[in-house]
Amino acid sequence: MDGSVTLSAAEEAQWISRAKEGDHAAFEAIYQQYERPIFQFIYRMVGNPEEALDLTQECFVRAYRALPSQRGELNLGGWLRRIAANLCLDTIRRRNRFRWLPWEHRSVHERSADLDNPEHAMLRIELRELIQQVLNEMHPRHRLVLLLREHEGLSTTEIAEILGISQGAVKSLLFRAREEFRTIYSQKEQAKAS
Amino acid sequence: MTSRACKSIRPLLSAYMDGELSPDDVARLQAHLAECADCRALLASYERMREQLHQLPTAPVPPTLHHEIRAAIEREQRRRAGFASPSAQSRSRLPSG
Repeated sequence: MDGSVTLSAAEEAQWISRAKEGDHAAFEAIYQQYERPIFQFIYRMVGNPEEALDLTQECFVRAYRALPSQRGELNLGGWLRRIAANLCLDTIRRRNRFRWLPWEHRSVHERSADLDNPEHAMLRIELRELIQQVLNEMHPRHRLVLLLREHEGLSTTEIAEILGISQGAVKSLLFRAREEFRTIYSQKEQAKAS
Repeated sequence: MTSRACKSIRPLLSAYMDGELSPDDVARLQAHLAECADCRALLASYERMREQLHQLPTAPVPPTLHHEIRAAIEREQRRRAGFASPSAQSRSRLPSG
């Protein structure tokens, strides 16, 4: 399985209903639909591929346990992101020092462009590393809300649902997250320049 | 422009980026931005941050991801089956060998 299936809303509701009744194939269809985006989200939060793989497994095990007790219409993507977000925050809290491993992945296009223009490639890598360091140093909840907004492309309403807070609180968190990002980024740029 | 005006307007910049301001607030913000270079620079830095975050590469998905999740779910199913079955529980209490 390559995880590339896309379920319609009606199909998804059917799979949820069947999975709640213990249909293993239905639950597999669900994680086949969501395993990649959930992995990407977790990886962006924890920055470590091995840990992201473990946490993605744990996310779906928790979803498997909890699904039968979910009542009413379920926003599956939002619910899974909420489980993933809580897992990430718990993991980060347990660490004394958060370790962010640099992304090693580059696309074929990027590798080819890098060969053509190594100086430009170096600058791009340096910028990404700087951004990763900034994210790394942010308060985990600020990082989470910024990633949900900028990477997952979720609305304030969706983020509020995932985090279980009001929309006003999300807007306030986003403002503080952007301010924190900007502050850390400028400190790092100044340190680099001096 | 006074710093007090900037202080009251800056929290709106974030919601403005997300297209979540009321028309009245958008008008108030835009009027302020037209006169305040500092707040225009701040908005530009938020926009640059958004571009930078979007440029981060997509994580490589491990080829074993699906199988690893399936294996974890199967372990959970076995664990549940073990708890659900009294015979399995009594078997687990017997000394091995």
